[in-house]
Amino acid sequence: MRRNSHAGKALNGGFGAPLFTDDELEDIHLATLEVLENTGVFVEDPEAFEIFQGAGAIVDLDKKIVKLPPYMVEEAIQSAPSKLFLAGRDPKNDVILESNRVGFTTFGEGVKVRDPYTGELRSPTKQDVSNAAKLADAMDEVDVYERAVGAHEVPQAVGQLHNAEASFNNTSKHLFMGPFDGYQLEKIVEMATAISGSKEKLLERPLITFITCPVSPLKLVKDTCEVIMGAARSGMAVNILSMAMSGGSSPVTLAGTLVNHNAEVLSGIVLSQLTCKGAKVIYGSSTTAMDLRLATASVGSPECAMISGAVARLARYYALPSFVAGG
Amino acid sequence: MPPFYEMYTTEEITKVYDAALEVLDNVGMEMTHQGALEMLSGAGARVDAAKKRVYFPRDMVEKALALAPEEFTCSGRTEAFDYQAGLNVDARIRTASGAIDRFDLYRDTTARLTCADIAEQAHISDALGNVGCVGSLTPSDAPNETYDIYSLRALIENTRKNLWVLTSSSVNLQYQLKMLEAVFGSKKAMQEGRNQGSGIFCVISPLTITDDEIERAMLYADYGLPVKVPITTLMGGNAPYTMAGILAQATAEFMGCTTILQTIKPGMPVWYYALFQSLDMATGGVQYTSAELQALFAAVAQVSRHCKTPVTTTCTTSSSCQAQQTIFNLTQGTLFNTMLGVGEQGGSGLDGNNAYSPHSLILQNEIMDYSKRILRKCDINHATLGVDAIAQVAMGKKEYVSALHTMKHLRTEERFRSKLFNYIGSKQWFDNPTTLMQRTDEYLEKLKTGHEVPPLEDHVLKEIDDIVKAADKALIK
Repeated sequence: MRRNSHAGKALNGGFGAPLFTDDELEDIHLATLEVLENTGVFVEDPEAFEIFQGAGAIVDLDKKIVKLPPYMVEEAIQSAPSKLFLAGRDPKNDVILESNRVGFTTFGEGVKVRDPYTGELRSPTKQDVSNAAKLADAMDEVDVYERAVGAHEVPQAVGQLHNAEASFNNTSKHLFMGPFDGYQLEKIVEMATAISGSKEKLLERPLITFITCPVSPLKLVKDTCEVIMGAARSGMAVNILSMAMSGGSSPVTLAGTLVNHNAEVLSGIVLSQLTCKGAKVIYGSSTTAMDLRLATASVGSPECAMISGAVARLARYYALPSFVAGG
Repeated sequence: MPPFYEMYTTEEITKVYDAALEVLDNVGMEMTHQGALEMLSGAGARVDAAKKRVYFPRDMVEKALALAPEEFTCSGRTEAFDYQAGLNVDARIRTASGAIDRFDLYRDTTARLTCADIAEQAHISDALGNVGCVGSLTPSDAPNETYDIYSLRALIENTRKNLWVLTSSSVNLQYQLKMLEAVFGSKKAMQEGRNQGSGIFCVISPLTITDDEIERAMLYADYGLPVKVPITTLMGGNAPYTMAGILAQATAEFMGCTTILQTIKPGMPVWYYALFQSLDMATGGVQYTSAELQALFAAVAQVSRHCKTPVTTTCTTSSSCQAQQTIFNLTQGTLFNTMLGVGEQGGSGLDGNNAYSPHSLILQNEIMDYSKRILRKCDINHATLGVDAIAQVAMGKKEYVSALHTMKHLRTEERFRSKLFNYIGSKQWFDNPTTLMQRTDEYLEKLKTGHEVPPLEDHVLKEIDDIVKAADKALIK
């Protein structure tokens, strides 16, 4: 018997668990718009505050509260790119973030390191930062390197510059790191420019993505604003990563935590787009549940997994690249 | 209905289904049992006595699949220990079956299994909420000729959960079924559903059914037990090397077996049991756990839904007595299978199912609890979205611990509480370091000493003992 060719064939490229319906996602989105419009966010940085005000947000100067009308939020979501090109020093390590492509990264920033030789739990050094970068560089399935630990023996006012140096020198993969503030961000961009050869070349092949975290609940503190604005102006991507703790800094209900988380990240995305329309952003999460007995953030709990899954789904709903806590 | 993963398109699954039907129609199965061949011939199969083959036309197979129930009850000793087999049911564990060794993953020791170990598995299974079915093991301290009868006795006496009645022959099975009859009072009661058992119908890949297998099936059918159809194909060994090829053969074997069973007894409940293994072409070894096998289990879950029959898979590992690798394989397998919507998963088997581990069973129970919590999602409604609460707290105290909204929802959104994993800080841990395996061992001891299984009545125990003695007398040479 013979089997003729197909006239066309739809192929399945993977799988996903249908955690939420479109209606449920819409409920979360609408609740978020309501929070941003009626409650608003605390914005500590004066320049950021002016940017919001200039764009038409309703502001309260005394309380430093910025309320975002729904159209502003939705326009920002629209203008943020859906696809990001993340370059490594070695082009074989270049990565595209788009749609529901899945990649892996190391996570940071650890404040302790378990010495692999002595077993001692101690503060990390710049050598540990270098070693972690080198290890990640060797791992096939690690797509990008987020600086895993920070150097504690260096002056902390410029600690991220030391971390950037140790990381850039020991991995040829794309680097994710939090610069802490606007000053260090600028200096790290200078480093990356020196590696690339010029500003234009860095823009063409961006070697670094910055990370910053809103403070839950609903605060864009000074450093966060500086990093978002600085990244937007430099042309580098920023991962706006909320770290709410359900029952502690966000509602105990997981749905409420998703709303809180969403409001924080979207407010950061609005700032990014108002600073520079089309600036690159990643929708990030390390939100989890708080263990109300131990007062710890239970990363690795099933609730963390659910929240990460929900965040990834929300990011797809917005057509934005996402970054979630793994374990 | 909980959400579940589906990896394959409808078109892909239909292709597997159609290929299986083609195999049954054109290749058939090897069988020599006269009685079964006559029954099958009468039901529409084509029998070629010279080639010892029976061929199943498509419509005969599809009718048989339609007869097999989509959902049914697997009974425990009492109704409280029943569980449902079906396509959208609460996931359950079926414990290790057939193993010959007991691994202690905490102490890194191994020893040949005894009847006391089988009793241990039964006892702790009775306490573990996710265990639905307890499998028969192979004791080294029982006579070779009647080990399966001794094994079942240890199970019957030590658990109220459903039992997988594995047997070495139809002769032995008669004694085993008599033991269950002693518990439930009559064969009629068993036929009506209270039988605490499930059976097994094995095909030898590729596509061969032995005479004694038919005899056993007839006994299971007579006593009303549902039957698992394990397809133990070895990729690249007794099944095609290609993953799609193993699906075609395995599904054909399952459908062929189902057709035989439905011909013996229409309406007999069955499972498609994917017990695939992979032949490691580099070493000649058999792997029970691999990425490819997981991808196949995903297909089998969908094929079963297409056939409307319950599915069961395995989380048996090939990691010998290596605790860390076992934990990894078990977690990956259990979580993935639960998310595939597999209603019953084999577990606690290690070393390619040659070994049973009580630690592994306890861990799997915990992992399944964890997985089920994820699949319960979260409620999304006006109250839980908490927009008003966010407004109050964000502009007020800035912490939710003391918020009214938290008090109101604390119980309804209670967090998963693990018995084994802890999330304490490192400083606290270093003050009193314990490992996961140590905590598992402590929990095992707690179950062994603290959990009670109500004993069977004295006259039932005596009757069971008499049956075992009679089997020894008749079968031991």
